[in-house]
Amino acid sequence: MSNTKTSSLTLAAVLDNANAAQLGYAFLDLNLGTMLSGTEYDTGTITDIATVVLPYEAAVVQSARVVTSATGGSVGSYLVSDSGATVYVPTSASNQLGVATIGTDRKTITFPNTITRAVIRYLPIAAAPMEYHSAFGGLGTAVTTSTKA
Amino acid sequence: MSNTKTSSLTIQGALDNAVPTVFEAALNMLDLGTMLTNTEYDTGTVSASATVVLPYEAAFVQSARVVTSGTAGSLGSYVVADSAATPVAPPSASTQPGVASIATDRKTITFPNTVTRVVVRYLPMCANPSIGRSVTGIGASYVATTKSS
Repeated sequence: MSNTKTSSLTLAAVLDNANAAQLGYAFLDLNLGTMLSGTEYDTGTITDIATVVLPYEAAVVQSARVVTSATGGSVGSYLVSDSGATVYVPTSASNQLGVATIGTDRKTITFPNTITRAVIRYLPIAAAPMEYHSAFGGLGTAVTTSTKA
Repeated sequence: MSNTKTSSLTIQGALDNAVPTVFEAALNMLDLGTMLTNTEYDTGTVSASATVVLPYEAAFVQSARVVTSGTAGSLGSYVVADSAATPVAPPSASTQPGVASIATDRKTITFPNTVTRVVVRYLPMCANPSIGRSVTGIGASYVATTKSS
């Protein structure tokens, strides 16, 4: 019985399989150093909108802070919960926590009101989407690896 | 004075020391791609319990949301604090955040009341049950160079 399997060559699959020949290319896409440094994303002043799209997919989000909004009561820090949560403004602006959500795309943060500037601290999954099919140095579109215990 | 030490061959130790032959095996067990992408855990419907055990040890917990509970006032999103924190139900269900705690085992989340379904967003340390698990197929220990601080 064979102990090998063929996986599609996504970034996630290459990282899981950890074959030395492909890892270097995967880590180039991953930008591990940048990723582990964490990221603080400041939208700057933007047009009134209730959603902010992060530059990279988030593994986890530490906090989202509304800096400016036409709704004064929306200003302050938010716990970012999963996409099924109910969004809620802080009970007291800039004092207590509000609740925002992150979409299943791992990039879209939704606030209860429109905002014009937010600062979000988060850990990106990678500097490229995990589904991204890189050329991986011309290694092809699939990779055969040993199966795992 | 020697600059080598013998380490037990856990995933954590192998990743720290980064000896190429062992590093590849450890990274294979880490399942880095899965680890970075499977960051939302839904318990589904479970028996009423005040604790939920995550599948993998958590490096960081973004949020925990009680979806269903015998205590209606427990519903909503929670900040997950350290093991010494006192769990507190949301002041207003499904609106303001409550407080849950994570135990020193990095897997057990405790809520102020029993819950029957929870969604947790978190970053696992490893897509194996424990980062302290032995790396397989290499041996029980290995000698690695020590690091300068």
